[in-house]
Amino acid sequence: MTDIRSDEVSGDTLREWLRERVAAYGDVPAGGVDVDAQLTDLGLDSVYALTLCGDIEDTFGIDLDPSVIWDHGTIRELADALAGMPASNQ
Amino acid sequence: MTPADLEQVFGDPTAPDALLTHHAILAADRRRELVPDAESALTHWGFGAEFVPASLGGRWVSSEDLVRRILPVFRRDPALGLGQGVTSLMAAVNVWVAGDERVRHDVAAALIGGERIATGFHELAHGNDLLGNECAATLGPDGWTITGRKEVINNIDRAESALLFVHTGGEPSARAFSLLHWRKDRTGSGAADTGYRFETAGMRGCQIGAVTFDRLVVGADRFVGEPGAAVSTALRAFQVTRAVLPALTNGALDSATRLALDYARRRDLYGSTVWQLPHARHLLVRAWGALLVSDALARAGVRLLHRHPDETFLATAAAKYLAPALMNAGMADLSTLFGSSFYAVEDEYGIFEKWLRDLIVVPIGHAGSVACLLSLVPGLPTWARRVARGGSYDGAVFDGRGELGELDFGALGLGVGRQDSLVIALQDKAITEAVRSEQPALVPILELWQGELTAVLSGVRELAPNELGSDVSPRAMELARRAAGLMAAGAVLGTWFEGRDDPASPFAATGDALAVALLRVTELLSHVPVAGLGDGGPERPATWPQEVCDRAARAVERTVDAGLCLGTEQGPISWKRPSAFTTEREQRD
Repeated sequence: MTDIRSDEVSGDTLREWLRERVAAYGDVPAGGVDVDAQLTDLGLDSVYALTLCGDIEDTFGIDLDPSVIWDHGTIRELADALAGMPASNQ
Repeated sequence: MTPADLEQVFGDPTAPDALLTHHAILAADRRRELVPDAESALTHWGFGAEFVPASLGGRWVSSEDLVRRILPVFRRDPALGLGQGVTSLMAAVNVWVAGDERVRHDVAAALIGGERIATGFHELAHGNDLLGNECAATLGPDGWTITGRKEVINNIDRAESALLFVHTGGEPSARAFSLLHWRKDRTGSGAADTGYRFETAGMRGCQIGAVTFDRLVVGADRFVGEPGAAVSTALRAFQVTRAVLPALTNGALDSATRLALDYARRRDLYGSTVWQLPHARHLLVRAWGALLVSDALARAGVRLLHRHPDETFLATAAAKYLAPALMNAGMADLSTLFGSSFYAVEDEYGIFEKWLRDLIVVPIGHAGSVACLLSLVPGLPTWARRVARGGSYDGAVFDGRGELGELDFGALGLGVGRQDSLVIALQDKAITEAVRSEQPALVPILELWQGELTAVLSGVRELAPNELGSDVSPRAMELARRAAGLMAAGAVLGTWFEGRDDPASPFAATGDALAVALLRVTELLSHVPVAGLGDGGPERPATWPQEVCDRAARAVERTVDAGLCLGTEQGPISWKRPSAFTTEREQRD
């Protein structure tokens, strides 16, 4: 997975990346995924949040607790939260 | 001050004058009780203080020392260990993870004072599906009003307090549940009925009951953690108990193996003893192998809590899934060895049948096996990427001689660790070289596991995202099972590598211990073929060589005759000295 440091990426990039992940999970076109819809309404469950969390960590090089995804219920909110996070030292 | 060794407190379980004998345990089991004198002795000894971190006035620093101190209980009676203490540990770890200063000190004082705390999470209708729980609490002017029912709760009737997992608002989601500490002596209006008791096949002496709340009001300040934090708290806290519990219950398989050896050496059959039959020796050695694998995995999981808490969400799920399964497989082998004597519950060996019933509960109780496998699944893609990337080998994960400081409960996470310190043992060049030079006969098995690692990583890469959520696919479950097997194989190799120069290690005592453990763990590779994954894994190696079984059987005899226990750490125990048995046999002959 491509490593992109979070301090180099904008909320927009994160939003588009998340939109693609959610679309892949639901097997639907990315364009049809509403960034302001609740992730649960998009079919994402709290268990898959654990997978998504690892994907985010390895792609953007940040340490993330999966509960962050529980606390930011839409793609837009989650992308904004992630954009402000420091890069990990791994 | 170091507490007294419970092996000495309880004494030889086969000696009539000991505090806790097999005879007394069986008699109490028939009455569906725990041995009263043993319960009192444990309270006096300070069982509750074991579960309180030293920084809060208790005795808990190293979790491995905690396991060591409590193992004598589980070697004699798993129901006593669970019913008298470990269910309180399950509640307490949630408080250590998330409780504020007031509730932490409150719970610490209760445990040190000898109180019990019930863990009121379970509802029969929802199993391990935490988000399905219905028992609810609503906030009013007087505090929280609880309505609903919690079922199959150990000690709910006699415990002075209970930790309750309750729905506190909104659609069922990971943020809709909270933890409340219900002190029975501090409630407002309403009622709670704790009179119902479930009858169980195993752990009969445990008082497993239910509580029905009828608008019971508890103080608004009884939260453990933030409102809505129950799921996150429990998923962190139960990593500790998922690690500790299998390490403890291995004590019963240790005792059962010793008892089976005693039986086999005494029982005459076909003009000789059962022990002279190669098949009987194979059964016992296979059970010993299961114990070595289970113990290597469980103890490594316990040390990981201290060394690499970022890894324990996955590693302890694997341990709680696989160790109890191995333990029960070992018990099944031993029950075959006992033959018809297993069915006739006679005093001398009747305790075996009780242990078997007790241990069957272990995979079901407290994070069931399937729930543990499900916990592994969503982490698999990240796990596979990081395993492929490698990491640095940490020998302290496999070495029982290291110092482990107080647990950092705040470091327990819900993610995939930065590396997999168990699987790394399979990739480590120094370990591979050591096997090549010291145990060349085992190189094919090592290579088999290294091939399995490659196959599992490749299988995980093929998983689609929608196979990983709640609707997990069968092939994802199978890969989770195989990932757990890899962790176990890594734990065996690492424990062997570090134990070779440790006088307390079976791997130092006999070169065949590694062969036995590897042959046993490799039996896990009998995969059911799964569509899309080819044949599901490499071929299994040859059957157990007779000469390995014979030498290993003698190693078990030597360990037992030396008065030592049989896990991955051989320490002295109180059990009838086999020298007495030998003398008795010589007199009879």
